[in-house]
Amino acid sequence: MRRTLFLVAVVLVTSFVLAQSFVELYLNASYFGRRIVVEKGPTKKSRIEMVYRWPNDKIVHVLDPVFLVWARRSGLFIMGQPNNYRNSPLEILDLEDLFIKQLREQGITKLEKIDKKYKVMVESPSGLFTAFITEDGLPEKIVRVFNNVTTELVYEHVEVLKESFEEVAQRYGIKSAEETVNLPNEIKLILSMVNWYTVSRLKIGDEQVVMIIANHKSGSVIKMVFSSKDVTVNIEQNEQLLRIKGKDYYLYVIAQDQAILEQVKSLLSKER
Amino acid sequence: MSEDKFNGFLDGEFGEEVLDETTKNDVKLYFEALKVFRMRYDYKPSAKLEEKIMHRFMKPRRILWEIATGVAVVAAAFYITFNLVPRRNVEPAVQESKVVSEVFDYLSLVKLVGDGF
Repeated sequence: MRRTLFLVAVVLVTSFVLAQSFVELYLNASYFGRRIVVEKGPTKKSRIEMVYRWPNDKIVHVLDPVFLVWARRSGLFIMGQPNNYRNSPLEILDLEDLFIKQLREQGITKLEKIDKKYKVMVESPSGLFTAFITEDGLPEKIVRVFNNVTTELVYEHVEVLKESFEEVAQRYGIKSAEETVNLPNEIKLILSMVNWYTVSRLKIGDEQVVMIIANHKSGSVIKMVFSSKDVTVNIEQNEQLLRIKGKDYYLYVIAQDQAILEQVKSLLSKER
Repeated sequence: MSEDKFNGFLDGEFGEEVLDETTKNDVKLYFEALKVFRMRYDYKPSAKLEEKIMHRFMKPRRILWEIATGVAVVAAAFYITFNLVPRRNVEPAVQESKVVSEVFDYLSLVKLVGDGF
């Protein structure tokens, strides 16, 4: 009996150490890959990209549906096209970044070894992530299931990257951008409280406005109407409205939950 | 030649014996000429030759007709396009401000290339 328990303990410890080693390899890996991202759900989207990834930095060249390059350098984001890059006020996180974020925060929920690769599952408030990573610490596939939306990232080719960030950045004409995209700070702060959002155009009277519908991390829905002029925003009986006047714009925040609206007010007042 | 006798003979007023040698000769020539003229006058070309000749005349006429039809069709198409078909209103009904379109374009791009927060 003791011998059996000892053997089980040895196997468990060995698996844990191996798991730690391949996770460390993955988190510290530098690689180049071509990948496809597909999102299936009420809305569908897909992308084809080339990715240069270093432990802390990244350059992503989106080939389809739009020609665009975005990069993360020392926690700052820039996006655009060669010779026309601008700083991005918002973080740009792909499925891989979200997986790594949840892996660090939540840890591994379940681990399986299949041939020469690991199947890693991470349960998180942002959804259930399943990733397939090779023994060498290179990613093969990452899947996230969240609220009936499945997002799948598949690497069709991955190889170890020997070039530095500067070398690749030079090839893409990436320099530190001088201009930043004009995004009202209130929108940026409110979006930091949500998991995802949708954006659409809407006509109120004669005014064209932007409608943002977001899912707060608590699960509650929060809406924003952004306009260059003061407009009349109609709300439902169970909704609360917060009107914010900016320098050359108006922002209307609509929430069903009073506590969420208070949280928004508190966040905005702290930043002012 | 006696013209009176020549005409009188042709009109049947008197016989050949009245005519002198010169007039007789002229009458003979006249009949020969009349015979040749009749032969030419009664000539009817073959159907193939007739078709060939008529085709030579008809072809330029048909080209002219086709050009005229083409010009008429083009003119009609222009008239319908510019007068009868309702034109699309080029001016946008609603003017979108620069600040609104910039926010929309930026958020759409971040949404497209990112997978959440």
